[in-house]
Amino acid sequence: MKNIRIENELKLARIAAGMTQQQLADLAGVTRQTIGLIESGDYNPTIRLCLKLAQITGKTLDELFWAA
Amino acid sequence: MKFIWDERTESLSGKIATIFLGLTQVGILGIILYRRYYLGQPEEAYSDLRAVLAFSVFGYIAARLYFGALIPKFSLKSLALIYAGFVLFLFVVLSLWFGLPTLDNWQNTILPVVVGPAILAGGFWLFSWLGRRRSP
Repeated sequence: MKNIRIENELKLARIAAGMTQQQLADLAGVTRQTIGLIESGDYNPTIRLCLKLAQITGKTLDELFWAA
Repeated sequence: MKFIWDERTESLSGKIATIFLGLTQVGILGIILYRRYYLGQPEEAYSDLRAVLAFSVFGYIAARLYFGALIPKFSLKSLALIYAGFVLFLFVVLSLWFGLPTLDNWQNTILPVVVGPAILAGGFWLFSWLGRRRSP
């Protein structure tokens, strides 16, 4: 199945939280590359990771992945 | 350097492993055919490769059946029909190749054609059943 490119607000939320990609990756338990690919819309994370990222950045899932 | 295993690297590793497993299996099959038909080596010369290939292919299929990873699961009736078709196919092809089997040598002619596909079909059904029990 072809991956659908999903625009998201993760980068803005991360910057607003004052974190680097590496810091967010460490907190989420993933690689920095994974964060970079999610931010650029080239990787679709599982709902588990989405929830973790929302929790870390203090945003809701809608704010991170729906509003864009 | 800290090694991190996340969902993306896990998925990517799975895809890469599948591609290279396929290439390795095709490569081993190519070597077996080359040694069998081009070099004319006896079966004993490549029986180790044959065992590795059989383990790899059947292990892969069994694992995919067990973990419910997208191999169609057949009903017992369909499996019986596939078995019958497979036996008939083998019987026709081998009869054309080697001539009709004789009853005095049935252990080496009729038995493998009847039992071989039965073991495959039985194994297929067993792992499908175990897979269904694991994730209905």
